[in-house]
Amino acid sequence: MFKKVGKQKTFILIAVIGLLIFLYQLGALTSVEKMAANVLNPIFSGFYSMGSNIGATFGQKTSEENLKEKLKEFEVQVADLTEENVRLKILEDENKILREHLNFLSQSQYQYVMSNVISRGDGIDLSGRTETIIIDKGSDDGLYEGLGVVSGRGVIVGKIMEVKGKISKVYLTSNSGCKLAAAIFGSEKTNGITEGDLGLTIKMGFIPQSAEINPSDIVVTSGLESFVPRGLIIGKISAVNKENNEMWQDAVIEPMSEFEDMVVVSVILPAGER
Amino acid sequence: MYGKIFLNIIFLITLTALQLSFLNSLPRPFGNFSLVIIVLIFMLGLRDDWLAIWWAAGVGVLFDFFSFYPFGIYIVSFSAMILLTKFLLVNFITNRSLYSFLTLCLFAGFIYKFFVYLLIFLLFFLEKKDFPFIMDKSFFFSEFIFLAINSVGVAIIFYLLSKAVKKLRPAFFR
Repeated sequence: MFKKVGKQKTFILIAVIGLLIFLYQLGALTSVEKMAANVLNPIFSGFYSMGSNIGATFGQKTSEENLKEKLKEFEVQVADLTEENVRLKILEDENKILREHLNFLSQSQYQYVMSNVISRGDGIDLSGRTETIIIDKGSDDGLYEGLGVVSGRGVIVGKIMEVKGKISKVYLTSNSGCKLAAAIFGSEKTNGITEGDLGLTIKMGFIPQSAEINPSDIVVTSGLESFVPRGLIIGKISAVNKENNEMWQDAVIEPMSEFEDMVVVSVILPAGER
Repeated sequence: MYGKIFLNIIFLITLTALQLSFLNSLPRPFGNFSLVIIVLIFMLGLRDDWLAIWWAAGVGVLFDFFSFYPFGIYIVSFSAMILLTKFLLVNFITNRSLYSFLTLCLFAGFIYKFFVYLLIFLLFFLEKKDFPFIMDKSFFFSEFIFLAINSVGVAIIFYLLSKAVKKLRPAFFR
């Protein structure tokens, strides 16, 4: 009734697939996988970079009026930040002198591994969600689960969740699987936990009702996690949800990084592990 | 012969790189475009031999190398997709018109997603973990968008190819 699709060749194909899966489970294909990753990672990162540039070009929809408005806003911000910068520089110098006097160990105990982004999202495109990236460094480069990943501007963009020999999967901060111990900058006693919300924003929960938080407050990592240092910027609060009959209040955070433009990221390694 | 094999490997790598890296880096609607499925369908439809099937297995291997799901999910899914699509083509499709290719593409897209989700579900079920997807309204809407975008892609590629390939019959829009 039905025409045959090539019985013999089908069996050969099934046998080959079965053999490949069996060999992989035995670990016999690990070296092939690593060799493939070594050869293909630079190619993939090149293609990803190309696509990201094209996406960024088409994404530039800002009108001239918006640009002028933003420029004025930024000029005011620059003035405020310059003043704050000067003040902080003075404090930093004082701090350095004090530490030298007291022979404190340097708090800068972290090193960075730079990586290229080679893919975004899951291969099967999970319902259009893109809150993961794949980078071209893995366990062979000293990476493991739980390490923080930062962008070029020192903003934390995610955490490593899975690792293979030559590649790692990073959950971005907008991913509901990425949870970070966070604090409000300037009020380090106000702690909470951030997690991604719908792949677009970040939600910070478990904030005590007594804490005073406001929109535009900066949220940073609190340092309470083993592998994520303190002080990395997560984002800026855009809205606060405070109900008097609830035990906790929560806040909506806007990430500071543009995930679409990321082509190079850095993984933070504790000192002595490189 | 070795030259042919080498050339095929280069094409496979390029196809995988375009799908995994280039298309995934584009804004979301474009990221839904499954170049791999479309290329395999056209290879199957135009050449009608086993090259498309071996390409499907080869792409599956590369996808599995760069995936964090258990090895074999993509090889099995792509191979099942191409075998079932070939079965449909050989037994039910009588010509090489636009409607035929749209049917093949929709069928292939559905079968591919079905097998991937089924295998992931089975593996997570056996490991007693929560299924990583929530099959709500937005999930099904996204899958519909995936099939719609790829259908549009097939139509565009079909019309471009129909100028060059006599085998294709532009029976639509006459």
